[in-house]
Amino acid sequence: MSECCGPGYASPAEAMQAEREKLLYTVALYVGTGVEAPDYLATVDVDPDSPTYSQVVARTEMPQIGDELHHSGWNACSSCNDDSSMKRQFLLLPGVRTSNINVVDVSDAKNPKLHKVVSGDDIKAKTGLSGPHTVHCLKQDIIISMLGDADGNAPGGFLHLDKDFNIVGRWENDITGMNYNYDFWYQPRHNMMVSSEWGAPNTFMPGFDLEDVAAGKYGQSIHFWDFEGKKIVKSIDMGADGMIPLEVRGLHDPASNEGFFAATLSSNVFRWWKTDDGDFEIEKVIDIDTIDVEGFPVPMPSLITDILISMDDKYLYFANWLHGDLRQYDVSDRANPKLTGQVWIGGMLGKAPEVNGVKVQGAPQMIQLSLDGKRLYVTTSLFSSWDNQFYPDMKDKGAQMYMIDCDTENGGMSINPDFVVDFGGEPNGPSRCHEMRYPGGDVTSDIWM
Amino acid sequence: MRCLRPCEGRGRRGRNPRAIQAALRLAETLVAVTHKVTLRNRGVTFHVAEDEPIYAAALREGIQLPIACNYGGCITCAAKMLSGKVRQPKGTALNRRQSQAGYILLCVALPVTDCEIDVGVESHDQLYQNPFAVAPGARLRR
Repeated sequence: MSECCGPGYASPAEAMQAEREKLLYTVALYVGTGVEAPDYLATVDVDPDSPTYSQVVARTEMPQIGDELHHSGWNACSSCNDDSSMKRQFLLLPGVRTSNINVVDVSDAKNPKLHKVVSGDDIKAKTGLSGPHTVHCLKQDIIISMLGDADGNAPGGFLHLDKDFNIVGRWENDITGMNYNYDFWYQPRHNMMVSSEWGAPNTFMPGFDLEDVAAGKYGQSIHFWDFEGKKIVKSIDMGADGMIPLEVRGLHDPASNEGFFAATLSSNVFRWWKTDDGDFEIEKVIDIDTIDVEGFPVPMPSLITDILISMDDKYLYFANWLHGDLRQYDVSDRANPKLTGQVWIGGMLGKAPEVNGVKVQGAPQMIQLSLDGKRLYVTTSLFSSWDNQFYPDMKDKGAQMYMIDCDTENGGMSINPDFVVDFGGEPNGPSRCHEMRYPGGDVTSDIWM
Repeated sequence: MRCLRPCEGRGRRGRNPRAIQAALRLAETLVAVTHKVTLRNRGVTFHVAEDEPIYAAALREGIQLPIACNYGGCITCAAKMLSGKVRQPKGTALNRRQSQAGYILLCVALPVTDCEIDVGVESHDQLYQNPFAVAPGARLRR
């Protein structure tokens, strides 16, 4: 970490030289499991020299039951590296279902403490928004994508908090063209932001229904923003090729103005970029075929539920939550990704029902890569009601976390045989683990200006 | 069962006719129609006012049931109705198939009659369906 400066690292290259991660945070949920207790933040020991390696070493319980913790984000990241007054001290943990935003103090990295709760009721009353999802810091401010209005209907918007987590109001000036909201990535150097579309909370929270897709209740557009003007300047409707675009990632090099996103239901990966004349373009670069599975009358998509880019912008990783595989692509040639690695963990195709001695519940879902690109951590839960549709045993047996060793020279992936965290063995009962973060920042949290 | 729950602990207000009328009007507003709600798989029964969500009434009785959005939009609190009738103002989370299977949303469900319900995830055996396991023609619109 840089000395005498703010949080994070001066550059992606410097981040890659950081000390190996020793702790990892993941949200762990009891929503929809039968354990009527609040969700919690689990601190996992990922230091192979530690006697508690591959174990949960701390549990920080949220104050209210039923949040459905999902994604998380820091109060500050490498975008504040030149600001010595800022510190990466607080992890924001939104509850999708309650709209509460739980703020956890990680000053003691091994023992995070609840610092504050921004009440979902206050957020609804002051901004007319609900369903918090992606958290990004913007210098001394924080913005959070909100997936619904106060009644859980589309299109939602963006919540603006100050650095002390007070509600400032709505961040955006104009969302014309946005039917739904989900993830976003921003790059101030190019005055741009990209946002994607899931669906209204009232549509996706009860579960996934193909009739809702047919009725147009899920998104299929991607939006490009004038970041300073806080307004959408171009929306692209991708039709059947781009159904349910979720995670949006930009290359880490701040000089670049391109990235990737996955259309989850269509199971395609798109490349996006800003052209020299300031326009925005996309192209489909990976297409995962559906598979006919015995007993399932509808062809099964792979369902690409998470995607990320390595810190050196060389490799793209993504998870196919229904098929059950994790993939690594070399994207040195941005328009022509090359498959270089693949592993199987759980999934509905039955290719790897048991891994490292544990029967897998679910399949690869959220992923997080080490800063040096050599270790990919993966969890198997998606969203409580969707878990209960596709992998109903998870509610009784809990989800799992695995680690994948990644070859960063020649490409390739292999499941590390010594690491598995089975959330089926949690002391208060089996829970679902989802998004992960490292205390010092990671490849999906930090943006360079 | 349909019963009246008079306001408890209030004494007479005196013999002034105006005061008596005022007291009667007050009593009228404080009287609530309640119904008997039985959580069959928990072996408990309690009374719930017609304007009180069953989830909130259970919590008042010290029973923590599944809850999340608390406005009828998210299905976490779904429970299976075995007998009885409820109103569910603003409840949107259930599709027709789930409603026909007897599911209700306890966070917004207001009893209209006495009710018998199975609660918790153990009542969710027919709630969820893998959408790819269902032939397109067999689906019902929400």
